[in-house]
Amino acid sequence: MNWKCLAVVAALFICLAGFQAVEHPEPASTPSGSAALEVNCLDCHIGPNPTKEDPRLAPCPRSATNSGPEVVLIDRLSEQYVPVIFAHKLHAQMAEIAGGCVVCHHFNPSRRILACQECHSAASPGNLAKPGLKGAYHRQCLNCHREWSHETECAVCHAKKTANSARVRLPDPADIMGILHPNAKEPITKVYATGYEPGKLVTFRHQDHVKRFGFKCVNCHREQNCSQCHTPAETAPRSKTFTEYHARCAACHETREHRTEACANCHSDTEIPPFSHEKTGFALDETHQDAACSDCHVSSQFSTKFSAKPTCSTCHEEQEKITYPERLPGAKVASL
Amino acid sequence: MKENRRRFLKELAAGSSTVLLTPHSEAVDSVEHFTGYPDRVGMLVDISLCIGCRKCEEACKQSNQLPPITVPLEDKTVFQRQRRTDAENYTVVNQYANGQPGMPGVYVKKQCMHCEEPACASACLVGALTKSKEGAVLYNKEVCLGCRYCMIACPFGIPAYEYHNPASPQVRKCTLCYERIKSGGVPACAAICPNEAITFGKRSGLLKLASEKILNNPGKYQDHIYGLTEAGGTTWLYISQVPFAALGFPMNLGVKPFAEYTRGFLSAVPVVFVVWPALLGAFYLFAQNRLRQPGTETMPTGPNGEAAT
Amino acid sequence: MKRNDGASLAPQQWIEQNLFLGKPWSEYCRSLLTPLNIIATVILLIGLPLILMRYMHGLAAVTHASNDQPWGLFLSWGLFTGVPLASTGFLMASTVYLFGMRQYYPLLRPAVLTGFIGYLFAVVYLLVDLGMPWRLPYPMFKSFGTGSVMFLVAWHVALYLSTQFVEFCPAIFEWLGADRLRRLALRVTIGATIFGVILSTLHQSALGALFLLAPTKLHPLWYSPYLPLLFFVSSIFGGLSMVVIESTLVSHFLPQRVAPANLRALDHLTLGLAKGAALTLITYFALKLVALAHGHHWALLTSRFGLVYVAEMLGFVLLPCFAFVVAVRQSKPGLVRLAAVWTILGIILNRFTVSMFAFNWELPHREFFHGKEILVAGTILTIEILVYRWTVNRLPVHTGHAAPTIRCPIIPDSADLVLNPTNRS
Repeated sequence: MNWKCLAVVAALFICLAGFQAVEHPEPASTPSGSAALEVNCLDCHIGPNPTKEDPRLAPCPRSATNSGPEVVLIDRLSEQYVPVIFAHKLHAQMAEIAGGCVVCHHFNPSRRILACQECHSAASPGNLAKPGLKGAYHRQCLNCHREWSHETECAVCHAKKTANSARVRLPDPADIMGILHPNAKEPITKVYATGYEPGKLVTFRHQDHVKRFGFKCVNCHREQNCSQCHTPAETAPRSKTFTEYHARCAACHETREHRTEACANCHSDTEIPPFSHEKTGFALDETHQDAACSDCHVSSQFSTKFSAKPTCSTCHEEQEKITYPERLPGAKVASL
Repeated sequence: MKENRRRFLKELAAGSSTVLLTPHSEAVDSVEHFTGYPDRVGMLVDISLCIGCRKCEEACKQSNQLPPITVPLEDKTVFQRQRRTDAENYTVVNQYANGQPGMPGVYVKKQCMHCEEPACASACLVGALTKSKEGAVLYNKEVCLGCRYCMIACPFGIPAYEYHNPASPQVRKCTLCYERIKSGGVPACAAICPNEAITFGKRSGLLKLASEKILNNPGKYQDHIYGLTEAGGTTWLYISQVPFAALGFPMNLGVKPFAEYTRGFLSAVPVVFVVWPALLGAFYLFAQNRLRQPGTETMPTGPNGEAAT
Repeated sequence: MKRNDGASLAPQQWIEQNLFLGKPWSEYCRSLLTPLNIIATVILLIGLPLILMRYMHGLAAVTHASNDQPWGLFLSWGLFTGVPLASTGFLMASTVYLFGMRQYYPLLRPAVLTGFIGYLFAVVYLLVDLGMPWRLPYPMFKSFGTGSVMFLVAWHVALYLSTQFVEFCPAIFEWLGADRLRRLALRVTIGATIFGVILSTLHQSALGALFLLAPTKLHPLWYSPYLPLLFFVSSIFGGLSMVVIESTLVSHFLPQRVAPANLRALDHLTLGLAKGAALTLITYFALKLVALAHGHHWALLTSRFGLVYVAEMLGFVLLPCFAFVVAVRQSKPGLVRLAAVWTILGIILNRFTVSMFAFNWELPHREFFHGKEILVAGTILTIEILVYRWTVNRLPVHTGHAAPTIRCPIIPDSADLVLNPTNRS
């Protein structure tokens, strides 16, 4: 035997050893038909010689917030129920706290996330251990919902089909709070301590904002991740940029960095008293006290358009002459 | 002497070869042990999956043409008391405490267990209840008298009677949707269950599934399949995360089929028929004999002429 | 009143003599207006419509039978109590014919009558309690559930009723004046008696065996594999006590229908019955102890049901047993009668406990029987007593007819020595 043969044999041995050392975790339940789905090592492992200690897994390209459908329409029971509007993205975000996509998509031998119905057939299962599609859906949903909200009524997900339920309505993310998610406690006032020397305190009247403008939670808490409430303090709060701090308020309040005269509208060393209409120069008398803000300050949705001049014509025939400050509210309010 | 010995040896050889070469009957004594019809079905209920939606109750009533449910499915007050099956409800779902505060309740579906060797079938004096080879325990309303002994016998307290029916009252209980399963279908409750908490299949397969579930989920399930051996085994099998004793399951049923309890007495019946005539005939003959003895032919009498004891 | 001596009578005369107690129609009707009859009529007027309601509206109309307690008063009283108390027939028949104690002959026919009526009305109670009583004959010919103890009960009650009827036939044929038929009926007496004892042994114990199928439902103090034996033994002293009570009542209320010799012999025979009752009572007590030890349920004696059990054992088994023994030793027939009543009460308590109170003892909110059920059961009992009285008033039941000559088919060359010793005819 010469050295060439030895080299070939050694190489073979190394390859064999390398492949032997790779371990694959078994899924908790092994549905039949798995052999039909191709498993390619390189789908998940990069580089040579993955071992148990260093499996060399490629970073998962999926992030719950970035991939996967926003909403999945489940319409198998369409004779009896309106198709179920499944807020996939929302649930994906929640699952990320727990363990990622595999919390629901519990068997994906390839990189591609498998939809439920690819393994669970709608028809009666031949394999006793694998539920049909109906059972698979419900077991995934209900086992969480039962622990979470203790609510397992069909109506939570299925809207009964009535005469005028033909049109399917996409969910408003605002539907969630209080219906699919238990009501969170809303603070009345939050006073923040900032690092802004001229005025350390920012008084945020949460309840006033919600009540006066009819906000839903998601109007402001848009990019909120579930983990911000449910696993607080896991990571140390990192410092944010100026824009990040002011992002939520910028929609309505003057927070541009170069407009330094507006800072004092919110930043003060003392708690700022709540809003009173007198500050605008137009004290509300008895009749006007009962009116809602939107009766005079007409706007379809809250935005910078709130600066539109108030109109009296919703109730009065003639337009009264009024003056209205050009600048955004808040800026004006705080200064009075 | 030699002649005798030779003859003796010949006869011995002839005799033993006869005995040895004669075919013997096989297996003279075998213990009778019927292990059940091989293809019988089963119903496995995974109690951890039941959410108490009661759609099984609704489907059962529809499938059996019973009056519709009276308490709407959304009304959870129905769980405030434990219900039993009755003439219009072949199955009910009851709620039990989870054992951990704040956790949602545990729901258990109750219906005829379709025992392997049913006490009710043993009890029925006209054989109105029979165990089919598919596994279902069937009721024949054409011969039932309404004696209600089956209700006395059932260890699970399932059969219900139509006391308000004067003309044709029947015993009512789950039929395992016999017509459906005979034509290859699935019982109504298993078909409707949204969580597929009820799995329908061959009993042998379901036992394996149940064992796998218990084995593969250590700490989740109780290490017991209810119905495997209770009262000799039942068609309906249960696995649960909460101890069965806390879920209203009778735990004192033992493993003996209930029919065995009367077997001893019934086997004495022909003995009495055979032995009593001899025994009593003997008494009669003794009495005759005593009266025949000289000196006993007249009975002693008392002062008023009455017979003395 | 006149006895039927076989001379032919015109039909109208026969009816008057045999049905109207020898009185003309109008006089007979007037004689019916007694206080007891009026009470009985009132009971019937209340109860018969209730029975009709049961058939028109189902069992729910008159019972509180539920899915948890399917058997109610009709079965606990009519079947489970009625049958052991109707065991008088086989007891007296075996006493007189099989054990050769022919001095008890005066008590034989009334015992057979009591037994016959008792079983007949057990069937009546069943006809009221069964969901579909018109199907009562089904176990006889339509469909056989041979693995069932109830099947045995059904067949045996039917056969035993026939046997009791056959045993009572001599009295009937005597009444009708059919002497040839009477002698024919007498010939099968021994065989019928033996058959009757076989049947009685089995169905008295079968009533207990019915509950063997409910080991988890019957209270452990009463549930035992010995239940059939206990029911059989208790039927013996129950029957003996019934003979005492029934003979006492008849000699008190209808003395004119009892032969004077029988009236004189009654006290004496009563003491004799007491001996049998005492013996079986103490045997029963011992058997109950065996059953208690077998079940190893001593700890349950201190529970609420345990108190009932102890009361039953001491107060209704041991106490009457001692009373019987004392009565025999001191020759007090009156005490025997009291003890007999006490024993019957004990039987009622025991049967009701097993079939009703201790059954499904662990279930909450149990309901037993209520007013309507009691009224219906009382009505049937009233009818039973009326039928018995009607029969005793007309048929030669207590008349202590001369001992019959029986030719036993097994012993071809002799007449029956039991009833026909050589120096008596």
